[in-house]
Amino acid sequence: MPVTLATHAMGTRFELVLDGDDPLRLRTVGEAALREVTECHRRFNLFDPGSWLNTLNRRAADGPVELDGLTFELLDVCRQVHRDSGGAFDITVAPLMHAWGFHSASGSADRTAIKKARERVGMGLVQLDQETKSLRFTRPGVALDLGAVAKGFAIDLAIERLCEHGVTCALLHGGTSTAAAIGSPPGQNGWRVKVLAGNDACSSVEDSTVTLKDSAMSVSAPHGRVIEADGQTLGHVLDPRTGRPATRGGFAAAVGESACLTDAWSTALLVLGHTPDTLPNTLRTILPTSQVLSKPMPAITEYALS
Amino acid sequence: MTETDRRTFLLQTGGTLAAVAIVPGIAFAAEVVLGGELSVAIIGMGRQGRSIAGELQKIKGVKVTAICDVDPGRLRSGARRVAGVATFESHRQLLDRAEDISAVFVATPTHMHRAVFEDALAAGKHVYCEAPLATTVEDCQAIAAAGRDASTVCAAGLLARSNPIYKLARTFFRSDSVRELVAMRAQSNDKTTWRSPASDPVREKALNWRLDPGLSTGLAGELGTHQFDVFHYYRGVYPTSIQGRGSIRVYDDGRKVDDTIAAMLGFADGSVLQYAATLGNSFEGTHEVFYGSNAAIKLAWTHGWMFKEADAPTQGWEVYANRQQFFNEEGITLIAGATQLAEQGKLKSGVGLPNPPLYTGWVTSL
Repeated sequence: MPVTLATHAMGTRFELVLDGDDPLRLRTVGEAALREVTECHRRFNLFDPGSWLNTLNRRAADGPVELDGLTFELLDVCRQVHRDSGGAFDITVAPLMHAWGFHSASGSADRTAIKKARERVGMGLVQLDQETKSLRFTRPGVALDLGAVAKGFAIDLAIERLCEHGVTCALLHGGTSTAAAIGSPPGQNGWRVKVLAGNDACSSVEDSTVTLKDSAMSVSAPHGRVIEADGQTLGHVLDPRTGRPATRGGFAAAVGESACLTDAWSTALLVLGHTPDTLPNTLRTILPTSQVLSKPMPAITEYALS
Repeated sequence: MTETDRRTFLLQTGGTLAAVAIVPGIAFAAEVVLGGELSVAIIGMGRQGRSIAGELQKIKGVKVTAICDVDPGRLRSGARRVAGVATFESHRQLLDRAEDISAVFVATPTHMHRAVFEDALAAGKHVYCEAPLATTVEDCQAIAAAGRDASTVCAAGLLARSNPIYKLARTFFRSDSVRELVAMRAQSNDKTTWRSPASDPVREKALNWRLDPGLSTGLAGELGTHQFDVFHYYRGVYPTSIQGRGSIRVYDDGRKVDDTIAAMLGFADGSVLQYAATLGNSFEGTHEVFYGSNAAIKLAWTHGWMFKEADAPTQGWEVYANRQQFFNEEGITLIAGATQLAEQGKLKSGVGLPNPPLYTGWVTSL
C-alpha cells in the first residue's frame, strides 16, 4: 500500500509517494523528509525578511559572513553551474527580478531601476571562500535569489533523509517542476514522469515521458509567472547576461542524479535556448547526454546530468 | 527559577555585551546585533535543536561553537547546519571540554532537562531551557531551586513573554480594550504523527519519548504549556481546576498517548479556559483567544488581531492599524511599532513578526 504525504512550501505543494511493507514507518520517515523541505523553505525564502537568505543579503556586503555547511554546499553548486553555463544561470538576479517587477503582485517593469539593478548583478560580485566557508558581496545592494535552485536542493536533502532510513521506493516532486525518484514502483523499471508540452510556444511539440530511477528531473518554462511590458508578455526567467527575460520560449528539462543540479541546469538551458542538436561540445563534455530525447523538439532541451 | 525576565537572557549572559543595537534592514526585519562574541552550545540536536541553531545563526555576536546529541545521525546533520562546530555525544563531555562556552541551550527530551540543567549550572554556564521544564513536579521544583540559587542567568523557553506582539496585546488586555473577560480559548492543531524514524527499536523508543506514557506529558504538556503560560502572563493567576478528555482519533498505531485532547481549565473567579489540541488536523494551527465585552484578541504567535464589538469605543492607535478580513469578521492587526511602520509606508495587510518567536525569545533573553 503506497503512502502519500504532502506539504506546502516555497509557494507550491510538495508531494511524496512512498512504497514498502511498513506504512507506519514510511509515514514517519516521509514526515522527516518533508521537514527537510520546510526547513529549506524557512532558510532560503526570499520573501521572508527574517530568513537566513535575507540575513545574508543584508549582511554580506559589510564583510564576510561565515556559512554553515548546507548553505555553502548550495552556493558552491550555484557557482559551479554559473561557470559551466557561461553565466546563463546566476543567483545574483534578485535586484533585476525586483526591478522587472517579478517580485511584486502588480508586476510592472521600471526602466531606470532595471538599469541600476544591472550594476548589482553578477557572480563576479560574490566571493565564496572555500577556505573559511564564508560569503561576501563586493558591492552594496547585491542580493541572492535562490528561487531557481532551492526546490531542487530541498528535494535532494529529503531524498537523502529517505535513503538514510532505508526507503527503497519513493517519488518526491515540488510543484511538478522538479521530481526525484528512489528505485522504481513494484513491477516497473522506473517512475514514469510525463513532461507536458502544453504551451502555445511549443504546440508542435508532443508530450514526452521520462523514466526516473534513482534520479531527478527538472523542467523550466518561462510562463510560470509573467508580467506585461512593451505590449509583450514576459516570462519570469531572466537572462542574467542581458538583463532581459529569456525570449526563447518553450521549456527545458534536465535529468540527472542531483535535483539541485537539474533544477539549476533546467533554468540555464532555458536561457541558453539550445536544442539537443545545437548543444555545443563544450557543454556536452559537462553534461553527458545519454538521455537526450530522440525526437526533434524545437526549444526543448533535455540532458542527463551526471 | 527566579522571575528573570527572559527577554534579557541574551543581554545578561553577554555580561559585557551591554549594547544591543536594532539595525533596520530590508522591509522591517530589524536585525539585532550583540556587541561582542558570545559562545554558546546546544544540547539536543533534534527538531528543536536544529531550529535553535537556525535562529541563532541569524543573530550577530552569537556563535554556536558546540553541539551535543546521543544520536550520531542527528549530530552529523546538526554539524552540517552549524559553521565550524565541535560535536559531542554526551553533555558532560561537552561541558568538560568546551570551556569557552558561556551559555547552554537545553533542547533534549523533556525528562532529561533536569540532569542537563543542573550539570550546566554546576559548570557555571548560563542556561536556556526549553519548556516544559520537566515531566514531574519534583523535577520542576528542583530546576526552579537550582535556578534560584545560581549566579548565572537561567531562562525557560516560554516564548510568549518575549514576543513583541504578545507584549503589545497584553497592554491592550490590561487597558480597557477587552473590558470584562468573558471567555478564553486556545488550540494547537497540527497534522503529524509525532513520531521520529530511527535505525533500530532501541533508538526508536528513545527518540519517541513523546509517545511513551511513562515519559510524555502529552499534548497538554508538550504543546499546552506554552499556551497556558500566555493566560498566566496576561492575568497573573493559575487555574484551580481542570477536567478533560482525550482519545486516539487518527494514529491507531499502538500508541498510548492521545492524539487529540480537549480540556477545561477553571479559575477561581469562575472564568474558564477551553483548550483543544490534535495531531490529526491542522486547521487554524496554534492560537489563543481572549473574549471580552469590548473586543476579542486572537494571538497566533507570529500574528495577532483584535476584533472589536460594534459598541466598543474607538481608540487613537487604530488610525494606524491595518485590517484583515476573516469571513464576516474584521481583525485589526496587532503589530509592535505600527505607528512607525505606518509612517514609513511599510504597514501592509497581514503583517506579522519579521522573525519566528524563537528568534525574539533568545535575542531578548540572551
